[in-house]
Amino acid sequence: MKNYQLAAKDLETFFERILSSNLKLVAPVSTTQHIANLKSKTQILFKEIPTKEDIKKIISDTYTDMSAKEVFFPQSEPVIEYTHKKGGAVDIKDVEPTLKETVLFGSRPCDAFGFSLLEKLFSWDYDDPFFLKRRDKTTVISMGCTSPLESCFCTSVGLSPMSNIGSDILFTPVDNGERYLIEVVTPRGEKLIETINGAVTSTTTRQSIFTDGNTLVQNKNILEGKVKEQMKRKEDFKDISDILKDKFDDSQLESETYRCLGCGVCSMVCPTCHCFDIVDEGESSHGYRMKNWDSCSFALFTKHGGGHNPRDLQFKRCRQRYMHKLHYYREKFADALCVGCGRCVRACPVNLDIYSVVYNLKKAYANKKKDNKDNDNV
Amino acid sequence: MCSMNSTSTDKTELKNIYRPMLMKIISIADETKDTRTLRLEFSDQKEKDAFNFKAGQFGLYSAFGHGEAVFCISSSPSKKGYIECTFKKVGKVTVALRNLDIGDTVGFRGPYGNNFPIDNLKGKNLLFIGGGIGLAPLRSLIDNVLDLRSEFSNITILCGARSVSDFIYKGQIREWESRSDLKLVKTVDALTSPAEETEWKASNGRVGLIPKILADINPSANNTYAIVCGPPIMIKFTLQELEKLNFSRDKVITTLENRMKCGFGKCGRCNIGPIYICKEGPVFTAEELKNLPQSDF
Ligand SMILES: Cc1cc2nc3c(=O)[nH]c(=O)nc-3n(C[C@H](O)[C@H](O)[C@H](O)COP(=O)(O)OP(=O)(O)OC[C@H]3O[C@@H](n4cnc5c(N)ncnc54)[C@H](O)[C@@H]3O)c2cc1C
Ligand code: FES
Repeated sequence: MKNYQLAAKDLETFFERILSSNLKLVAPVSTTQHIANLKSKTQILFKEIPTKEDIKKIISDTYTDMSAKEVFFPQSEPVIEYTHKKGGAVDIKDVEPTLKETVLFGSRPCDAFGFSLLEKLFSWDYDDPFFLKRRDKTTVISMGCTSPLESCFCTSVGLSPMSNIGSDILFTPVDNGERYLIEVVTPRGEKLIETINGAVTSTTTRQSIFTDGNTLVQNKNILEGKVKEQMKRKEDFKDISDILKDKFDDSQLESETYRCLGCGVCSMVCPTCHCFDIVDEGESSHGYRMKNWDSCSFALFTKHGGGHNPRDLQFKRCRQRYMHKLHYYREKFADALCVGCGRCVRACPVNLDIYSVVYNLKKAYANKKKDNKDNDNV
Repeated sequence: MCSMNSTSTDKTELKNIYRPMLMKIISIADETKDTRTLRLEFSDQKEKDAFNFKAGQFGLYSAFGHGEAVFCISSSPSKKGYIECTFKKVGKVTVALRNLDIGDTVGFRGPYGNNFPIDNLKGKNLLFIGGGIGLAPLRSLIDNVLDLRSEFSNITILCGARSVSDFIYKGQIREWESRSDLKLVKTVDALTSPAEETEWKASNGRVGLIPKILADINPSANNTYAIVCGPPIMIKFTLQELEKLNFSRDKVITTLENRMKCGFGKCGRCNIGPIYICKEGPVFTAEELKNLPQSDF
């Protein structure tokens, strides 16, 4: 696939052309929510950029509080509509996801990899049309990271701050942010570049804003090496799956997860958590069947009708989350269900930190192995 | 790392996997004071003709406006044109389903999950053990087996309930009792009155928990499959008893009923260890269960 470059000063033009090509643009913006007139909370979130005037609100190179999985898998969405009619009959209608061609700009490489993990899950034998149709209509443009946060650990899960898996296009700021290297990863990405270049109004013809980018690849590679070097958290997660296999009832896993409060914030901010509930909302005469985000951290999540709850204690629920991410998902789909974005680490009210848990388990396991060896040698 | 696996197919054609089929309630039977059986018929002729399932599979039944609940299909796959579900009133959806009448519409998605390995059971002695509402998934298989009676060897049904009035399928149990080609043993945890005791004993009913009665009847494990359904605690002690009776674990079959929402491996709710009960279950051998983390049950 091709490489292009774009001068940083032309980024606004790029966004304008997306809008004038009649595409929906979603990008990170700072949003302030007022809660019951008392507090306000400012977060960086992915929002639709409806008009040209809104373009200046875009924060193009940033870390968002929530991941962009909502673009494909909204927090709450109707899946069917029901209407009760006379005589006990019911009418149901499919709800079609809104399907405008969309450009998602500014996700991180870790987020984009997360989309590809979700795609595997949502096409596992049964194709979930809601996720897959939206993914199919969206061009994902990720922004490579030049200054990862302290809590980031994408290299631990085999990614890099500038990896392109799951993105259609990857932007990387090079030459001190003066220009972007634009790597086209998929045919969908290439199509967008063509559209942007060809977006012509009736009165003006447009000049291409992209030039050849091959000369920047070398700069990016050097930068990528440097940024990886700067990252503090480097423990490799690869063998944690095998370690966890035997650690289900391990007391260390229990003590590591004991302080979990079960608030579920980790699942909400996570780019790959996909648990959901299905409930009917509306009046008895008319309403919608909804698919709503849920979390394995919640106490009622697995409670049986008969009252029995297999995960009756909080540490068991937290253990499930780690086992699912680091072991079960890997057994089924070859990758861990964690992309190292660090959002859960930043959001957790009791500083539960998946990276530290893995780090501590690995250390304990290595020591135990060493002890066993020493004993064997005695 | 794997590449994305479904980018090339046309996504606009994808069906809505959350859309239920519409079914009409054609009859209602009250099994106990809190357990009811609904017989359901597809409203759409095409869906009716195309529908097929195997004993052991389940579906999501919905009362529109209240939500969905998982029950097994308790009728036999050999009965065409309708399905039955038998459910206990425990919460929101089961209460709403009870409020519906004959002629009313319910939703059904399914069938989902694996099934009882009926082909492996052919030529074998079968020992069915059902506790409480666990008789529901068993009934689908028992009826299926009885429709093909000559293909199986000796059949024993051991069923138990908390009290005499807690038995589901009372009529059907009497029918099974009257057959000469199977042996039926029924037991209750306790009797509630001397009159009940007299009547129960007169009908050869026993008193005691299922694992104890199982030890009493002391079935041979030779060439025999045991199929066990019931509440988690009953399954646990029954499997232990079967082990004492020298049943090998791969000849002991049971079903699990974890909480479920989607039924097809997406909502992340039903797993025990790495196994998704909705996709890889709900039917397992005791051998398969042994390898799962016991503290996740
Ligand atoms: C494969 C499979 C097959 C099954 N087959 C059958 C069958 O054949 N027959 C049958 O009867 N059942 C069967 N079940 C169980 C059945 O699915 C449940 O009983 C049913 O889903 C309960 O639905 P509900 O909406 O009525 O209960 P819910 O309203 O969801 O409540 C269920 C229980 O959850 C707990 N709960 C819910 N909300 C709260 C709260 N706010 N606070 C505290 N606790 C709460 C309570 O313990 C309550 O009793 C099966 C399950 C599976 C997985
Ligand atoms: S019921 Fe949803 S994953 Fe099994």
